[in-house]
Amino acid sequence: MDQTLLDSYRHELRRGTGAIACLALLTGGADYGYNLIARLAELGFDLEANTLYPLLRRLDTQGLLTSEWNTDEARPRKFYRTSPAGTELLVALRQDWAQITKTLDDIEEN
Amino acid sequence: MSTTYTDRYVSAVVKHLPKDQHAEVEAELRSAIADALDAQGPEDANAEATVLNAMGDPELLAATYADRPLHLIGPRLYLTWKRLTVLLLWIVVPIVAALTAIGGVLGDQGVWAVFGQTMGAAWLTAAMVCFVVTLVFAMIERSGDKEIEEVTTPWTVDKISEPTSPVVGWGETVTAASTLLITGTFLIWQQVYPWVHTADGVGLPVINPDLWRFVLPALLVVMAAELGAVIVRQIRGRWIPRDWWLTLALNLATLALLLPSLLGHTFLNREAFEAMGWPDANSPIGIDDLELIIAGIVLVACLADIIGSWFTVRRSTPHQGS
Repeated sequence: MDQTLLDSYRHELRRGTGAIACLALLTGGADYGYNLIARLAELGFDLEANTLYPLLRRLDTQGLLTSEWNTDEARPRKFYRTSPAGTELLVALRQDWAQITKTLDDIEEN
Repeated sequence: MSTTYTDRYVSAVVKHLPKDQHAEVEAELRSAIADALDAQGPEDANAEATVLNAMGDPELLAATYADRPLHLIGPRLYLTWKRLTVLLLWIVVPIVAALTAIGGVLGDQGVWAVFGQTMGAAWLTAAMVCFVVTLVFAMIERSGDKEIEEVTTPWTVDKISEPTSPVVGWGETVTAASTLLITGTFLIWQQVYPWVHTADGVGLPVINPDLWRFVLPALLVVMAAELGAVIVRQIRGRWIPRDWWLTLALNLATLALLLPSLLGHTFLNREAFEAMGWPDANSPIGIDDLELIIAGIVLVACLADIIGSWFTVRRSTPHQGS
């Protein structure tokens, strides 16, 4: 298979799902950027730093995340957590996603 | 010092962002880079370069932070831009070319001179139409208009808006834009390539060249603003009360710029008319009368625009009770 073609379609698929993955991960508890990249990578979701940090900031300004600087440790870090509005959006998007999966399954079965 | 690369990188990102975000983004980036450096391990001598290379072009990162478009005209505006550019080229270029040709023939110039002037005028007008329209669209793309922001935020089903009936027709937009572009071209053209000459070949523009000190450049700015307003309205598809205030302001500005010189009889270039040999003793009207006629036309056109847009705004916003 043509690798560049595959990569371009993967990129298309990933682009919109980064926000969903962040909202989902940050529902469980607050976390900071670098650790989030590591957790996403562990789950097989490669999100570059230069995509993730602006994404977090955008979700924050849109009120989908709340943020707080943690200065307890030697290095100050900004911790993010999914807000109620973010959870609401996540639920809506998850429903869409489930619908897409179901439809694709239906197509395959027929 | 090992911090210089990071310092330079961070300031290179931040300088492309609005002032109020500087401190916050800088702190975020520094903590992000430090975390990434730790992960590289202390033994890696090139860790800083590796981390910063992975972050990529600072201007690109800043654009991602600021949600700034990395294209001149995006998919939302592209088709409107293309249609308007093509339509205006089809309308404005032939009109300017025809006017130039007629002017050349009336000026008793040779066939090839007229042909050359006409091609030159057509080419220059086409370039100007493309440039001005593209400039306006690129500015709209970057204006942070709410309606444009809507498409950059995550999409959900409830984002689909009810289709609004487009009250602003293409005919209206193209007529207004063509008029502005042709008038603009004429103002510049008559100065750069005057068709009246003195006996020893010095060009004489028909409009008083002294007016380029302020009045005519200011008029071009007002007309460009008007063109911008026309295009924004076409993209939005309907008139809103703000449009009327803008129309009022732009028309009043036009009148304020033009009437003093027209009524003070300093608008037309006397020398050019003398060289033309008009008006002579037998002419029914003189230059002063001509200026009064132009003043009358400008006044009527501006008032008609103000009153016309008032009724259009009232018609197209019946439910908002303005």
